[in-house]
Amino acid sequence: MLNVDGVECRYGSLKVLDDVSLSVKEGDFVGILGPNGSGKSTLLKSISRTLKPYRGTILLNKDDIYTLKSVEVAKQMAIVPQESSIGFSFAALDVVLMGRNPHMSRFQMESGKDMAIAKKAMTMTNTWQFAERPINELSGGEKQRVIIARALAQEPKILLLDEPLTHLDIVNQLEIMDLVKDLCVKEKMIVLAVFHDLNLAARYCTSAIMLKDGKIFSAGNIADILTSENIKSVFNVYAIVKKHLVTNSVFVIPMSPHKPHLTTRCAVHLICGAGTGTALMRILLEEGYTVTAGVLNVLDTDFETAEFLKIPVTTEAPFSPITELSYKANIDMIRKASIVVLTSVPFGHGNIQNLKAAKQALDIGVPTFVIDEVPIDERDFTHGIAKALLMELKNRGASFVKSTNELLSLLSVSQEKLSQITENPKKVLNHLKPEGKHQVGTAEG
Amino acid sequence: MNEDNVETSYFRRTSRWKSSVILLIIALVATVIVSLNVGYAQISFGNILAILGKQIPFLNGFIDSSFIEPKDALIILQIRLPRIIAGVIVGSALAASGVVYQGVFKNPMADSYILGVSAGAAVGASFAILFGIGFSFLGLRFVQIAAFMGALLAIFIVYNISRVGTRVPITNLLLCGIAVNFFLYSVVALMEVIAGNELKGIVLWLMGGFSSVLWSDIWAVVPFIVFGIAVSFLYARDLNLLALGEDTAQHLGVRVERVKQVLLVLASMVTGAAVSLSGLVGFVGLMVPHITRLVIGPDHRILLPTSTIVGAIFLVICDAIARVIATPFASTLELPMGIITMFAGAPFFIILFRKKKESYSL
Amino acid sequence: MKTKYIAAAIVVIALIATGSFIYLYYQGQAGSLPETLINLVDDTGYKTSLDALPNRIISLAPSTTEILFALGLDKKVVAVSDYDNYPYNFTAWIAAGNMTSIGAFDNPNMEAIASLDPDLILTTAGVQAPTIDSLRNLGYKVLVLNPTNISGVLQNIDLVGNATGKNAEAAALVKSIQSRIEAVANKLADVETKPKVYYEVWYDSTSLWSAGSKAWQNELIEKAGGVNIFVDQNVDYFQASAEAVIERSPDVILLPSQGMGFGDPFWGNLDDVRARPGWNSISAVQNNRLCQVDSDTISRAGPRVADAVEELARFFHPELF
Repeated sequence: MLNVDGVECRYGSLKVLDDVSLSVKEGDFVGILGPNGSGKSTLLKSISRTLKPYRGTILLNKDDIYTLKSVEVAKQMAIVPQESSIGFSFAALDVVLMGRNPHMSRFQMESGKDMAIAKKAMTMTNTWQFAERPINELSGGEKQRVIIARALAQEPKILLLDEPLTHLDIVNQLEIMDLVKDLCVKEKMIVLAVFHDLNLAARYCTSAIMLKDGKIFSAGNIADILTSENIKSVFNVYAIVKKHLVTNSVFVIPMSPHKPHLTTRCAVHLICGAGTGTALMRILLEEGYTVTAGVLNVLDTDFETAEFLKIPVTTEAPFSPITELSYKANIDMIRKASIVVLTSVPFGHGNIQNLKAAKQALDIGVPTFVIDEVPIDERDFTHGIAKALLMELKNRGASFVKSTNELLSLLSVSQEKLSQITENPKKVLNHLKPEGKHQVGTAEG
Repeated sequence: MNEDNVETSYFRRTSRWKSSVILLIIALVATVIVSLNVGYAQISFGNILAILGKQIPFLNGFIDSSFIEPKDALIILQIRLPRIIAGVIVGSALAASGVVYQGVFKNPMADSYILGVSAGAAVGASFAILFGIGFSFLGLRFVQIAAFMGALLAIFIVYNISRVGTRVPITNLLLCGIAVNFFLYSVVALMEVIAGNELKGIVLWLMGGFSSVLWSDIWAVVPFIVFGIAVSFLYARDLNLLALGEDTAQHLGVRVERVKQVLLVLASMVTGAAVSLSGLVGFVGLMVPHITRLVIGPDHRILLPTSTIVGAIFLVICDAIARVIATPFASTLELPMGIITMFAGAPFFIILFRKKKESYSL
Repeated sequence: MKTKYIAAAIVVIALIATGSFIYLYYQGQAGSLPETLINLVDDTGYKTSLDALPNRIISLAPSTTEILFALGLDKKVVAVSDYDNYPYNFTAWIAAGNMTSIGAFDNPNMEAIASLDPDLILTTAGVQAPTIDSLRNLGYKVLVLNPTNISGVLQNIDLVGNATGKNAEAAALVKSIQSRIEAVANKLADVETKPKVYYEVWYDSTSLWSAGSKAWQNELIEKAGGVNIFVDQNVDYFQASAEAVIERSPDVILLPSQGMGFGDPFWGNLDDVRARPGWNSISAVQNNRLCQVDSDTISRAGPRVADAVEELARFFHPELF
């Protein structure tokens, strides 16, 4: 049992930790999360007795750890620091054996039992094979694992890990984490680990605390505190947080920080689905366009993105074809938009109505662009109806582009035009026909 | 790699230290015996053995020493043997304290000179020589007492100035030691300027040597040196742990500040006592631990005892060389030992270093 | 925790006690003093006693060598130091194997001394202090001669005569020296002006050393009828500034020189001295009273004291001597 109560740490007069409290019991795997400088390492330092708190107490099984002898604490608590530089060329095995120090008396040399424990720790961390090599000849990752082995050799009840995965490749990261988690579960070890990788934290920790500016921003179950809002508040980063179906843990997809465009542009309505519109939604938003979308099924990927990006969507229930209601709502959205963009979405009977909506858009007079990246034959699951409709769109004056980039460049051009021409949208449309039809020359002004 | 091999080789390695120590002790005894043969006076080896034998309580009944001239016995017992024993004592002291300083500071450049300990001893001794204070206390001449006090005072000052609260950061200690060093050496230089006739005496003392060492001098410092070295041996494992970093050592159960205090006081006491006997002898405290570490490895439990003996052997050899090297040029001239230690040790170190450069990272 | 300190203190005290026990034991082993024939007190106040006249004498300093030889103890001196050169060229003797040298006088070779099995050793004080301690600890009889003035030297001569059974010779030598110095004093009785004298101990590009009132040479200068320009400096030897010398404009400059005073001064020749910046304003330079003195004679506290005084008197008052 580890109880941190009201701990305040300072470097000089600078408060680095402010009123931090947490309570950990056996078997807990606690992640300590937070941006750089939020006090994560400091928290570990105060627990490991490297930095005495200005205020507050830290109790280990009801004893104030600062009153205990170093040896007593070392028998129960081990720490793997962020970095360790070892000046002398000790062999890796020597280093791990030093972890047995708290359990040996002053005059004792290492016994067979100590060796066995060290060996076990090294085998678990995959380091036994370089037991005799000098530690400063090892790579960063290998050295890190040796240090972890040393901590394990202490047979601690509490393990403190300060960014333990920094130098490790992905295989080692997972192995070490699995190992630690295993110990946590089987031996009821308490683990407090500082993580930068939120996904790893999500996967292994049972609970977590999120630090911001030295204070606890949020604490509790890992799934509860890893939310988009928390991540935005603490890290100032947009991230999508989902529950992963396979690992059964939460995972986080960070996005670039949202930079609002200086000028607001017109409204674009996207007819998309199946992931074809996700990138476009983001780009358009970044470019300053107001974006709407429809009709999207609520299980659709594009719907998720839209929901995340707070884009108004006309939705349809899962596994249902587009109903009259949603069709009408879609048209309403189209009316409010200045431009309609149809992506290379595959068409089936469920969403063929969307193609009709595009046609209607043209009738209303809204400029319509069709991104024809994927040939219609490959995505027509309506036995030709979609293809026919697409042809019709073409004939009616929809602009066909080969890629998103082309669309964007055209949009920039058309923006200027749209702002100048207020009547006769058809004229604008003609101007944009790529086949060089009858142009409205001087109407550009 | 066969797993069993690693373990057995580890245990074999740690038990190897016992055989290394025994080997080194034999080497030391041999060096002492050879060194007894060296000197201005030509005394045959048989006579030397007889002279020595007479001193051993049980053997002396069996030894016929009537043919030995008393002056030869005097030379061996009162002039050569004290020097050699002093060499053993001072060599061990400087080497052991060198290992301790380097372990505490995790820095290969650390030794008693850096910390100002030797400078403190030099100030004390120069002061005593300059003012011609000749009294002795318990057999210890004032020069020696003053050197000893100077050493302890220096480490006391350096330690307290570099203290930050209850911790003493290593960099502070090193910087402060260097500053105190500069200051104290300028004090010595000032005394040299003031000194008239005594100048050469101060300069010679600073260069180090055993030319007029007496048994009483030796007895007076032996307790401190033996005590200091023995207690340091007990802290060998702590030194290993300190090498991992002070924070890590503390996490592994070492009371870092307490251990540092004890070790620094011990090492300085030992150095002060040694320097008061021999003057300033350079190189031993710095290089002997290095050389031994190159061969034996950084485990202090082995390094401390072996370095100590290597230091003793080294200094006995240097003293012997100092006594005779100038003989072809001037039959009675002796060179100051400090010169010999530097000349002898540096090339040796360079050769050894070049051989093991790859595997040696400190 | 405090108990640990107390325990440590007890251990240390115990060790010191043990050490002193051992020391005292060794001291006690020295045995009782034998019947003494001669009791001597030397210049350090140390009491030495000899139970027989010494036959194997070692002299560790040039001045003591001179005294020994002046008293006719040639045959009994078994070793001298490397610097001894009077009254004989000992280097040649040593090379020929007729005499032994025990090394430099500030760092003599203990084994060499012990090999010669001396029964009396003469030294000076100062830098030889550790050597003296060691020699006495080894059981040798050491007489320390450390005179600060001429009368001290005369006492030394008496002491050595006493120690070696040459009391009559010593008394005669003392008398002779005294009368010679008196003779000089008599001739100077009516002299009104005493020349200002600058005695140069050392000169190089960085420093200049001279003698103050406590220096050995100061008394010699006085007895020879001169006045040391630095007599107001209450020290023996000190570093002076060239300006002080120029300002005080001595009438005579004494330069320790090689070749018994007939050779060049040790650090340059007379032209060099004249060429020193500003020195041509000095009276001695203008009147060409740059005097080369034998450095040994003028520095050794030995029987040639009278020689030194006479020589200086000749320099200072050439019209009288």
